[in-house]
Amino acid sequence: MDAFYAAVEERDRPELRGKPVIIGADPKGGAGRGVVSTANYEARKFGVGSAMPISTAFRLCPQGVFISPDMSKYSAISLEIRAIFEAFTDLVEPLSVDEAFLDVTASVRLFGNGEGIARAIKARIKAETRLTASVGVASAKLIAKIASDLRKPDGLVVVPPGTERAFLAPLPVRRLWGIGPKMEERLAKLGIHTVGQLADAKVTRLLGTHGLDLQRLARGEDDRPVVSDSGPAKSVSVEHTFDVDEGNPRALRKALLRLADELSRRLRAESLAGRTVTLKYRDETFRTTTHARSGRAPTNVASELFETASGLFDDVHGSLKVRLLGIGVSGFTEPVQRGLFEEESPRRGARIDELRDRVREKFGREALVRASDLEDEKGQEGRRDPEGHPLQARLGNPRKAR
Amino acid sequence: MEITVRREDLVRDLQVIQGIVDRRGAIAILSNALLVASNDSLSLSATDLDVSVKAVCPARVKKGGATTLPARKLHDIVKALPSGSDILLRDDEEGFVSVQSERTNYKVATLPKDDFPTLPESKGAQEIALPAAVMSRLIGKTSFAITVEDARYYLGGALLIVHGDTVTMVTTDGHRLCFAREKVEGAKFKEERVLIPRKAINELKQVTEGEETIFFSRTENHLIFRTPRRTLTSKLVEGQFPAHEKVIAAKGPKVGQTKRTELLDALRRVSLLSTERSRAIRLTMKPGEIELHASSPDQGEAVETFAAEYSGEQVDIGFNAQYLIDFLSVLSDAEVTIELKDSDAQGIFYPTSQKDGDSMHRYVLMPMRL
Repeated sequence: MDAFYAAVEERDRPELRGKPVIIGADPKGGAGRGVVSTANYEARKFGVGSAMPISTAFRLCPQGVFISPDMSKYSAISLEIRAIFEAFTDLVEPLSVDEAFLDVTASVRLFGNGEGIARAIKARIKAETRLTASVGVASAKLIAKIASDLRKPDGLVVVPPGTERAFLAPLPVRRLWGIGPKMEERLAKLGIHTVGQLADAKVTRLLGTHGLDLQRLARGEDDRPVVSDSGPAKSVSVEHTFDVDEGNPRALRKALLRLADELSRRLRAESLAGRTVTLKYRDETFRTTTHARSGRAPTNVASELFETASGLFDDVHGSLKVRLLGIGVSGFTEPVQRGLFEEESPRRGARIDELRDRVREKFGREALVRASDLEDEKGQEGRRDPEGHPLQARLGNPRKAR
Repeated sequence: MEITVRREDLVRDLQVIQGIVDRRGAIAILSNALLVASNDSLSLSATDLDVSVKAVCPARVKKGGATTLPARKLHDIVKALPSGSDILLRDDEEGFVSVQSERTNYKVATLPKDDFPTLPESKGAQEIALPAAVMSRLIGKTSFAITVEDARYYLGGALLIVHGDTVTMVTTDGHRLCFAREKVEGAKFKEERVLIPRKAINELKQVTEGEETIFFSRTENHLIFRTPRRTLTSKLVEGQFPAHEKVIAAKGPKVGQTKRTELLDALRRVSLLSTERSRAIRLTMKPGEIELHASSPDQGEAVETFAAEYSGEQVDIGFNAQYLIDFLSVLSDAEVTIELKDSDAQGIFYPTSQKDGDSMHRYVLMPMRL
């Protein structure tokens, strides 16, 4: 993310726009002892940078707007961004609150090449958070990281495979991980100023084993995998944004039912069941709230998910139209008490779900659908079979089916 | 009505019937006990329309009659009067009964006796005589596992089976099943199976107290348990008690023994750091010892190891600690046997001293997936 904390504050306080904004410790009129967390690009023009003593920043830019960081706010946004990443790949390795590595190797078939995914992610971040991100696309973590830093803000740098070394060569050695001011000085004494020079140098002995590592990096050799720290999934969720804000209660219930079906299918596909069902609700004014309810036993049964979600929905839905609905399930890791008579009496809904899976597997997705999906929002039958006969006639009155 | 009753007799019977009366007070008459004085006794009845109890205590009856009084209030009053006193009950004023002891005089409002529901009677149904002590023990051994969840009402009771020379009681809440059987020397019972609702089980324990024999019969809609002085009736519960025979027949190939109190104390200590909601602990049985482990993401973890007689392969299994504590607490035996198979299969627990035979006590508990 570009000047993340500062960008968030600018977004939420439009009056800051165009002004130098410095997030960090209280400068106390120049006597403050903390450091700068983030400075926006206006402030950077004055020479203010992160990790600089706040007193120095105050001296360089006394007219700046100094703000103490609101970590809970930034963390919340960080999670939103993380969710966007996870829509593209499950291999997400967060580096800090506003940086992460994504391994999209397995997502290329689904979402296009690295550059395409990078553009899509940037666009979604902008659309959903009104913040800008810079992305580097490369075959290794180090290169991607350097590339992402190269054209901030709102940058996109792609380093095609095979060009890594050429890409790194002209850069100053400071760009590499593990090279601080001291090492930079030592290298400078050896006449090494660029990454390319380091890559070709025969000086590794002088620098010890660390030198070998540095030289490997300088040659663009970095095979460390992207390691997702999330472990097993903590929650699974689905959501739907209506094309037009929706007020019709039938249509809203239908949407919830579809979401419950979809969520159930995903949970079952991963053999997951959770105790906590969460409803995400966004109204036409863009106000977004989430509501959760925990049951006694973990579930992935569509009818149970729907029942809980629609209960939550009834509690929250008022007169405003709805922009987005989502249902999630979490609480997978809690110990689950097993039952004695499970085999003899599996839950009704679970058997229906299982049968539905089997029918769909054999005859296709459209073979068995909910009666409510056969009617349009006014309660009229809508879908027809390929010959144009209304499907509803065969399946009885959908209104009774509920 | 004008009678004299000994305080201790009245307290004892009021104690039994006050468990029945309606707590919510939605129907006023159901908060009251029906008092009927005749011959040399006073009968007290209470009902919640599902379960009813009638208790008869000795009384000096000067003038017979019937009335209803708030059961709890009467219990409180009589309890508060001095021990050993005689209590005089007299309905000398319309709508009131005076309750008098030596120095104290209460005037308690009544409700019309005709409003009190008619209690079911056995009407010549065939009775089975059961030893009261056996019934009491079986209830004590099994009633803890009756479900308190109303959703599965058919589990909300104890299954009573009388057959041949044995009396059996089975309870389950779907996660665990407790089975207890006792042999009655010389008995030849015709087979009978009934589901006794939870509330009736609680009362039945009290009704059997101090009695030698309890007579059991069933009518079309009711179960009736009767002793010379007390009668408990309960509506029959619809629904099929789950097939427990298969559950009880299960065996675990990995068999260990340990001291009951050691296991119980360790469970109490270790489960302090299990999560409040699940009460999950991990039990590891390995050669020579058992290890209990509990952890809670917010609070930390606990481990305790103690000696066990076991020489098989190590097995790890998760249990709800409370479920184990429940069973171990109703045992009095020194040693308990544990049969396990693997982390997915049920654990079977029983007193080690128990011989294969007609009397048995067995607890089958499903594991938790940790």
